[in-house]
Amino acid sequence: MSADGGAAALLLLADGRFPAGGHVHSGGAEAALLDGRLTGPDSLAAYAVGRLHTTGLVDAALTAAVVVGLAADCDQHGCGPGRTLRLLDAEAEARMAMAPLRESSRRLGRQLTRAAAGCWPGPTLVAVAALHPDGPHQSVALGAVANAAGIGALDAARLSLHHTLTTPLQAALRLGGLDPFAVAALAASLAPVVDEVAAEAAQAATGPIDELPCLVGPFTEIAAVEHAARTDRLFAT
Amino acid sequence: MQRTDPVPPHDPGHAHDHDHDPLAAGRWPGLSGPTGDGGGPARRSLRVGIGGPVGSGKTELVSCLCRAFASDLGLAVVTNDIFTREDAAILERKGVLPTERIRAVQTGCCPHTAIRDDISENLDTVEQLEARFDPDLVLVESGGDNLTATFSYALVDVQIFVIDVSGGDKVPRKGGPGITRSDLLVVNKTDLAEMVGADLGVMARDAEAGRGGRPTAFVSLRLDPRAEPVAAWIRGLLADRAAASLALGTATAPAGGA
Ligand SMILES: Nc1nc2c(ncn2[C@@H]2O[C@H](COP(=O)(O)OP(=O)(O)O)[C@@H](O)[C@H]2O)c(=O)[nH]1
Ligand SMILES: [Mg+2]
Repeated sequence: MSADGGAAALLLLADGRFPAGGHVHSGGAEAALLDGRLTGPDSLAAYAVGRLHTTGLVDAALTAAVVVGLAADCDQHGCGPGRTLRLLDAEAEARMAMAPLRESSRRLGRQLTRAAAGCWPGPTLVAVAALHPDGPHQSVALGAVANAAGIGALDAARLSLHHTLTTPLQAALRLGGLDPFAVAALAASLAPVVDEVAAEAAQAATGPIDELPCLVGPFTEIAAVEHAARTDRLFAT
Repeated sequence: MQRTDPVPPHDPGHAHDHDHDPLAAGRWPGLSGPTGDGGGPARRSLRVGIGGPVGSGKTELVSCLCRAFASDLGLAVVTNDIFTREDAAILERKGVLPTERIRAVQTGCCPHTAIRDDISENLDTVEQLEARFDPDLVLVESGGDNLTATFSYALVDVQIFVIDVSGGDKVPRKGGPGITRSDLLVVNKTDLAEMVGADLGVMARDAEAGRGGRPTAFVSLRLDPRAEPVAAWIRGLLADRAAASLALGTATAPAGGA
């Protein structure tokens, strides 16, 4: 864990009760339930692993890269956070082919920024709030919040992946009437995957930003577009 | 038959200590609570939450208020139905408000969380409507939940809790935060009271006892399609708000007549 005092902040941000709008999202689980890709605990596990290794890795690496970049801005160049945030927001944008995913990413980014602004006030969160009229992408916002809260790059990646994992699990639990203890056990069994992918993301974050991971799950992307057009959905994504 | 028993006639001339101060209304004593934007008169619109159990008449009330204010106030509506488009679709069909002023939000199976514990999605939507239309009044209809679901005062300035008589006359006695702490309690469907054997006098007495002086309105939205007592209460709040912002020197356009 962080040596710099960010551990308690990390717990706050990992808590589903942190009011950043996540509870109305299913991470594609509702769409997968509706079109029959998700049928029970086994397919839920496979779904979660798939997401951790694709969009989970991409988002975590972007978040970690923001943390790395912001630290370098301050330490080496003495410049403000604007440049890192702009560059990585553009990288995030380029990695989301589907308009509904871009929209909800910015919506979640501005909701997270709002919730965090009063918790860790300062120039980083002011800068990230001003990044784009529709808000920063979620991964960029999370990196900025992690930086403001004193959380390091590896933990920030882990935090991102924690949400990648728990969002569809929680939604599937609510929608499918699954056994909450079994879902908790599933989450625990995937904790090593979270750690492994987090290490990969943090490693990638130290490299050139245009070489950050770039992976998609085509089915989940197509399903996300169809889901956004449904009128009977209970979750935003 | 229609009984509109103890209607709260709004009296703007009367000295208000707590009830009509949108910042103080209904809050836990001593807790000023974090608000999205300070909530004060600097923001022009009045945000009104409408909560209560499924089927009590929340969407009906929203339609009635749209009708009542159509000629002189700018309105926007956010709905939180469980099946997300249901309420919005009803309002659109009734043609009481242009479609673009009605937004439905998803609540992830948790309507009460979306209006109380994590209001992000609702607040975001309200702010988008305010930025686009600069309305005088924003109505936020909750998804219809149990008697304990109430709004955060970071999302709304005041909240109305709607129950109806069809569940019998014991509901006000049961209490719960919606009944006891809402800024206005609306008891709807008085036209059905006789049929279901609900004693409105008992309901009025129990509501009065549990609400610490906060008003209760008995209505039949079926017979009163402009929800007159509720509309009058809201106009009173708008007038108070306009007066407060004048006193503070904040320039806001006068929001409707009292
Ligand atoms: N008899 C009667 N029915 C009403 C009244 N107000 C609403 N309703 C009906 O009650 C049902 C539920 O109303 P609705 O507004 O959709 O409830 P909501 O779930 O709280 O939004 C609808 O069929 C309305 O037409 C009323 O005053 N009297
Ligand atoms: Mg309704």
